Amino acid sequence: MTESKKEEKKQASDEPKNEKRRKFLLAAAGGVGVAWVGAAAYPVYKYLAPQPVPDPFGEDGKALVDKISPADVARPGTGKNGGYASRGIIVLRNGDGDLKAFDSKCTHAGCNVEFQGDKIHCNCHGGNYDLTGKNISGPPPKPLTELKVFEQDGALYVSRLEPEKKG
Amino acid sequence: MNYPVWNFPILGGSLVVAIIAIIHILISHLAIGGGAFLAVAEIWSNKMADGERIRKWLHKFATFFLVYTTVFGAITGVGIWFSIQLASPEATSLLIHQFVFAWATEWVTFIGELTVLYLYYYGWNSNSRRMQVFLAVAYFVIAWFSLFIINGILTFMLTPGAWTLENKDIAAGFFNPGYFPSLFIRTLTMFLIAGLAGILVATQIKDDEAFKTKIIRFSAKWVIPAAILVPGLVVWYWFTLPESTLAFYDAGMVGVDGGKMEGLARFFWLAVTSGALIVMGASVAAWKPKAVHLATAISLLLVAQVGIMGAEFFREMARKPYVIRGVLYSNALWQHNAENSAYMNRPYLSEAKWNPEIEEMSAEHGEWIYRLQCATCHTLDGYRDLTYRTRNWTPAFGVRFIEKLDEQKVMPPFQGTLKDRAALTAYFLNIHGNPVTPAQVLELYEQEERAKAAAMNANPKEAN
Amino acid sequence: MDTQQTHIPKEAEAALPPADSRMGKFYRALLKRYPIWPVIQFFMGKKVPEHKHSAWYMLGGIALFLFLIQLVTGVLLMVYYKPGQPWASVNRIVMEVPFGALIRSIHHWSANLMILTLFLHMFSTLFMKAYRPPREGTWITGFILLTLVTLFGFSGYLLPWDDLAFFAVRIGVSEMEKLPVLGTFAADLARGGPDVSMETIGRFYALHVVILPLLVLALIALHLLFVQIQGVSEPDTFAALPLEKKKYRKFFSDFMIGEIPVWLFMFGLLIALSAAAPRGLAPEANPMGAAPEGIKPEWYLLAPYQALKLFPGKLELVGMAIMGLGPLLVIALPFIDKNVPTDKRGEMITQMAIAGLIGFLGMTIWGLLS
Repeated sequence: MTESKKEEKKQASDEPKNEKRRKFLLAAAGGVGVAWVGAAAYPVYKYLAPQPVPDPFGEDGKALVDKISPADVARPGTGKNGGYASRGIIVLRNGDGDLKAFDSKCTHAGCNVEFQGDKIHCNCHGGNYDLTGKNISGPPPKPLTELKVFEQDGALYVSRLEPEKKG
Repeated sequence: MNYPVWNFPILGGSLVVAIIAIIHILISHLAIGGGAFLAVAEIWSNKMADGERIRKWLHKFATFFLVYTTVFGAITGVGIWFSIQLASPEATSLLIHQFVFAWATEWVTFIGELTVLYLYYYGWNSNSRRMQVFLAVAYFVIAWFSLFIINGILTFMLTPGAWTLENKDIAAGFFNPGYFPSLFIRTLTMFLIAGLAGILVATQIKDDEAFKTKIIRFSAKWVIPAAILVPGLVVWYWFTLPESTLAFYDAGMVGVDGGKMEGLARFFWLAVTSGALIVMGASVAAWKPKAVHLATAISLLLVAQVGIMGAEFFREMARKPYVIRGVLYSNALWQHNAENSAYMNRPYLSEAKWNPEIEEMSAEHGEWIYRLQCATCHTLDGYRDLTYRTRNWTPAFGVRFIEKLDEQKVMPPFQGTLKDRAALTAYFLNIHGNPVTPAQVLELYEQEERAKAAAMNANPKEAN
Repeated sequence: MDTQQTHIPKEAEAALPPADSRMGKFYRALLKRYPIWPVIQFFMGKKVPEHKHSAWYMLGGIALFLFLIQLVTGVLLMVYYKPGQPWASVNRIVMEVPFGALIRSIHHWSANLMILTLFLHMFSTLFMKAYRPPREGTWITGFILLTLVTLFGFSGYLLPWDDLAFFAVRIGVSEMEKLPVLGTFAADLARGGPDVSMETIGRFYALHVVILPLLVLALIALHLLFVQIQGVSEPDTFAALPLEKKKYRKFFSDFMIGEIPVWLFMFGLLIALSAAAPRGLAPEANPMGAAPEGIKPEWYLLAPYQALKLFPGKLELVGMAIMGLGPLLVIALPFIDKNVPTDKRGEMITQMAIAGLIGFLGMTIWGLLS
C-alpha cells in the first residue's frame, strides 16, 4: 500500500519529464514498427526493382551496328544514324578518312541526335556537336559518348572506347 | 536400415509431424513465457493499489494457462514423439542415444514444471504472496530450462558443429553454432506470445474499461523485447547457417518448381511478415484497448501461429536433404554409407531392416522402394507429390534421373541397383497409365544407352 | 478567411483534440475551410449491436480488406503481365521476377478467400434476416457484388493462358452458348469468335482490370452508403430487448479498430497459404491438345457444374432454367419475406435457406469428390 502511494507521488512530481519520456518512447515504438513494416515490404520492393541490364557489348565486348553498312560511310564526310544493342548510334567518316562512332543520346536531355553532314544536331532543344562529338553550341553540357568502331566480315561493330591515357 | 513403413496419404509423414509440431511450439512457448508473465504480474500486483483486482484477473489467466498448456501441450508433445518415431525411426534413435542425459533432464524438468505449476495454481488462496511469487519464478526457471535443453537438440540437427559420429562430442553438438541465437529468439518470442495470451484473457473483462485498458497495455508491452531485438538475432542466426542453405535460399527467390518459389524463401518471408503483423496488431491493441475483443485477440495469436509455422518450416527445410545435417539423410540413409559405393550398389530391398520379401522386378518391387526410400518426404498426390514431379518421365529418363538424384542438392543419393531404379521408374510410369513392367523399362533404358554409345563412337566430337 | 467566419459546431468542439495542440489547430483550420462536420457526424453515428453473433458483422470488412489486397497485388501483376504474350509473361513473373511467384499466389489465395468470405457474409445476412425491408437495396447490391466477384474469378482464370485456364473457360462459355435465342450471340461476343482464342484474352483482360473493378468499386460504395444510412440491422432477439439492455459498439472507430488485427491475420493467412500451397503454372494452352486429366471448375462454380450433370442431353436446358431461378429467388427474398418479427413465412424461408445451403455444400463436395 505504502509503496503504491510512493509510486503515485513520484509520478506526480515527474510529470513534465514523464511527458518527454512518453514522447521518446512513442517515437522509438514508431521507429521499430516502421522497420518491421519495411522488412515485410521488402519483397514488394524487390519485385518492382529493375532487373540488371545486360552489358550492351555482350560477352565478347562488341555489338553489331544496325542499319549502317560499311558502304554507307565509305567516303570521307559521310555519316549515318543507326543503332546498336537497342540504342542509337551515329557512324561517320571524317575529313581525315577516320571512322568515328558516337552514342547518339544527347548529353542534355537524352534525345537522339541527328547527323547533318557538317555537324551533329539535336532537334529537341537545338544543341550542336562538331564531328569529333564536342558540344559547340546550345544546351548540351558535355561531348557525346564516343565508341570504338571497326569493320569485320563486311559489317560494322562497336565496342567501348579504350581509355586514351593509360596509367 | 528401415522399419515397417508409415504411409500417410496426401499429407505424408513429415507434414504430419510438422503440423503437430507447429501447434505444439505455440503452446510450449506460451507455457514458458507465461511463467515469466505470471511472475512479473504477481510482483506488479503487489506494488499496485488495485493489486487484489489484478490478482483476481491473474487467476483467470492462470486457469486459461494451466488448462491450455498442460492439456494441449501434453497431447501435442506426446504427439510429436509418436509421429517422429514413425516418420524417422533412425533419426529418433540417434537423437535419443546421443542425448540420453539431456532427454532424461528434459523429462525431469517437465515433471518439475507441472508440480510447481499445480502448487502455484491450487495454492492460490492458501499460499502467502511471497510464496506465490517464488513459485511463479521457480516455474519459469524450470520451464525455461526445458527450452535450454531441447533447443540444443533442435539446433544440433541443422548445425551439428564439431560433433561427429566418431568423436561423439556431445558438448560441441549441444552448444552448436546455432544454439545461442536460437535460444534468444525463442525466449523473446515466448514473452511475446505470453503477452498476446494476456490480451486474450483481458478481453473477458466486461465491466470496467479502465481496468481492461490497464491490463491490455501491460500485456502488449511483452511484445516490445522481441520487436526490438529479434531482427538483430535473426541476422546472427543467419550467419550460423551452412553455406548450402544460403545458396538454396538465394536460388529460391524466384520460381523453381512449376513457378513455385523455393520453400525456404517462402517460409522465411512468412515469418518476417508475421513479425511485422504482430508488431502492428499489438500497437493497435495498446493504442485503443477499448476496441479489443475476443476475435481481435484470437487473431493476434493466430498471426503468431502462422509466424511460428514460417520460422519452423524454414528451420526444418534449411537442412534438406538431411535430418541431421551431414550425418543422416531424411530417408534414414547414413552419410558414411552414402559415401561407400559398394554399399550403395547392393540390391536395396534385401538391405532393408524389415525386408518385405518381394520378388525382384515384380510389380510390387518399385512400390516398396517408393515406400521405403521416398515416402519419408514425398507423397503420391499430396504434399511434394511425385505424380506431378514425374509427369514428363520416359522410361530411360527416369532410370537416368534416379541415378543422379543427389545432383539436385535437395535429395539424398539413390540407394540400389540398376534393377531397383528400373522397378521404381516402372512404378511411377504405371501411375501415369503407362503399363510397362520393370523389365521393359530396363530394356528401353539399355537400348537408349547402347544407341548413345554407338553415336558417341561414330561421332565422338559431337557427342561431347 | 476572416470575412467568412465559418462556425465550428459545439459537438465538434467537444470531439476535437484541445485547441492549443497541434492536431487540434489543424482540425479546426480544416473544418473552417471545409465545413463537413455534418458528414463526419453522419459517419460517426453508425453503431454495431453487440450480441453473441456479433462476430458475423466482421465479414463485410474482411471481404473489403481482401478486395484491397486484390487491387494491390493485381496492379503489381499488371506491371509484368502482357496480354499479347499471356503465358510467357506469367511464366516470367513466376520464374524470373523476384517474389513474382509469391505475389501471384497471394492474388490467387486472396481471390478464393474473398469469394468464400462473401458466401459466408451472404449466408450470415440471410440467417440474421437482415435483408428485410427497408434493406432491399443492400441485399440486391450485395448479391450483384457476389455475381461480379465470381465473374472476376472467371475472367482472371483465363489470363495465365495455361492448359487449365483454356479448357475451364472454354467449358464455361460453351454453357452460355446453350442458352436459347441469344446464347450463341452472347458467347461469340464474350470470346471474340467461335472459340476461346487469343482474341478472348483481350476482352477478358479489359473486363478483369478495368470494367469489373470500376463496377465493383461503385457498387461497394453504394452498398456501404446504404448500410451507413440505415444502420446495421438488428436480429429479432436483439431488437426485442428493452432499450437499457441493448449494447452497441460505435463503428467508427471502436468496431473498426478492433477488426484491424483480424485483417492482419487474414494477411498472415494469405502468406501462409501462399507459402504452403503456391499457385503453379500449367503448360501453355494448346487448343489442339487433349484437356488435362481431372479438369474441373474452381470450387465456387462446382455446385452449378455438378448440378448440371444431373440433367443429361436435352434436359440440360431445363436444368439451366431451374438454376437460373435460384438467383432470381435470392433477389426476390426481401419482397417475399417482409415481416418483423419473423412470421410463419419467414421461418419457412429460413428452413428453405438451410436446405439451399446444404444443397450447395453437398453439390460442391460431390463435385470435389467425383
